Amino acid sequence: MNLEAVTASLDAVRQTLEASGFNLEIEERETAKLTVTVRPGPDACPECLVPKSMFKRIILDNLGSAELSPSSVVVRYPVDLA
Amino acid sequence: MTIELESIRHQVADADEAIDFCFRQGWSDGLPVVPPTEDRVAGMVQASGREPDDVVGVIADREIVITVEKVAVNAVLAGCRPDYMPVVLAAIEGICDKRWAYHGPSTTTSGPAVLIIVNGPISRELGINNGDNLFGPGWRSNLTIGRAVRLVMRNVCGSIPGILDRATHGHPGKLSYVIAENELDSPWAPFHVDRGFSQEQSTVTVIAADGPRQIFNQLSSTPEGVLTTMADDMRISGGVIGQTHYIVLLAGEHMEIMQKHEWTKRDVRRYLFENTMNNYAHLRRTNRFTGPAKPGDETRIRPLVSNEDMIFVIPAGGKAGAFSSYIPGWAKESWSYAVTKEVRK
Amino acid sequence: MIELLDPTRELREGKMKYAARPASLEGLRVALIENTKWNSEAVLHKIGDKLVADHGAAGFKVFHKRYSSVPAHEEIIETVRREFDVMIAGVGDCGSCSSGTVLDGILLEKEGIPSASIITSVFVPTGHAMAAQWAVPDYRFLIMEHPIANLTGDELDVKVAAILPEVVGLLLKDPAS
Repeated sequence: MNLEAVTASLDAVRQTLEASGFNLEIEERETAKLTVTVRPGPDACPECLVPKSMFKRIILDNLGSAELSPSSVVVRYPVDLA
Repeated sequence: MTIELESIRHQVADADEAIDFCFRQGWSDGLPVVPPTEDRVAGMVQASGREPDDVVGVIADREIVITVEKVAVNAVLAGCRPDYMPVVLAAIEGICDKRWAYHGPSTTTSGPAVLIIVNGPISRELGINNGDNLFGPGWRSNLTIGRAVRLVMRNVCGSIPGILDRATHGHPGKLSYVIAENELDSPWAPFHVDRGFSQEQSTVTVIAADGPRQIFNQLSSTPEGVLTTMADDMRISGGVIGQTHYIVLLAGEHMEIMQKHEWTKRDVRRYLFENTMNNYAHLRRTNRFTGPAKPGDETRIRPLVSNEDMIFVIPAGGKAGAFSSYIPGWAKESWSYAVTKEVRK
Repeated sequence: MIELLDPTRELREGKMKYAARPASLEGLRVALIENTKWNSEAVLHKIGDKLVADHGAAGFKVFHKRYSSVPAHEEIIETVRREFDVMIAGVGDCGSCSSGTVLDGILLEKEGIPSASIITSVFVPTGHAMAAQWAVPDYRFLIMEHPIANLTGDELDVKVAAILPEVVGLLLKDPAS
């Protein structure tokens, strides 16, 4: 997986998150599986996040040419990091 | 097991808003629905024993694919318990069967409903009513199983009144039309055995059907007496032009008469077949067939059904009351066959 | 907030059908649906004032959503449908409230009310995601430069002046035509 290309594709999503105080982490933890983590910063606004299901769709829609299937994208939200 | 559900999520403020939201989205059949939250839908999928993206059926020519997940969402809307899912799935398989030929019965102005007859052990496990108030209110299993099937038809298949469902009148069975057979009190092999299954299996039979017509006979003490009344009513009824299935439901008092005189189902079918003949002159005079009566029409006979096996005889209904019912099928047998599917748990 | 799973086939490829547009705003009643975020009401109020002063609108009323992240509740939608002619929703300046504001526009258009939803620039992906979720990926919403929550009244006047022609344009011309 070309993580550089994926990161570039998700730049607009990153900016969206940063505006609400969250950071976006992108990793390939398992082969061919993209893990996207939304990590709260010190000024994070918890009510500002869209539901996880919608966020996953935003990721998939913005991945464009990477064309990963829904089952190969794992989203970790702040609640999953506790 | 974590169940991954793929359906789009809609966010609403709370459970009260959820009910209005479902109405506004057009997901309802006119009655309030149960909001389909993730937990509820996951519970339905789990009870099915299948994967959420398993294909239950495909509506040919419309490229509509119905998955277990979508059936589960609609089963929640309908108010089903999770253990109803295998029955709902079998009914959906039935209406997707090419022989049921979905397009015709679901769009036609003649507005048949999906009569769902449940047989075998599952009908008793789930308490599907086969007695008093057979078509009436009060049984969660009967009403929500049928409702789930209709909501799949509406929400997944697009069979929406005025759009792809052009029924002129329709009938109340289009909300839900589920019955079970009174197998335990019957002297006969149950309906699903007639359909080629074993007694131990559980099945669902789906038939495109008009509303039930009740007959009353308190005077007769013989099968011929009771069935003469029924035949008189049946003779000119829904299927008189097309020759379709007829479902005959014999309730308690009439079934006692059949049993006392040791009549078989075959005897009942034969009597009704022979006594529901019309002649062409009558059919033309009453504007069911075109044109004036022609020479020979008085003696030219048209049976109600193409053969006596088209009459399905099923003991069902309350023990008290000298009433039985028949249900005409839709249009013509070859336009939509009765389909029986096994319920798999 | 609760989530409901969609029971339908989820056709993803639809086109937005907008409500019929009026020829002008003269004499029309304007509904403003504010999402409770800081400065949202101020922005909408300023837009309402301009529509009355410069475009002949009859008047406006501000409706307050209960929660910014979900669509306006049933009572608001019903009242707007019955008693108003056009609607402006805003301002979606975070992830969840931008999706809620875009949905207000989609829902009111379905009720026959020409609408304009305003979200801020950073949340365009969320606006598009909500439109796609409703199978109208081409739904047109309006974009105001982010941020607005920390702006003064004078700074908001500048933002409003910039977006006003787009608001009027969207209310008077069907984007699909």
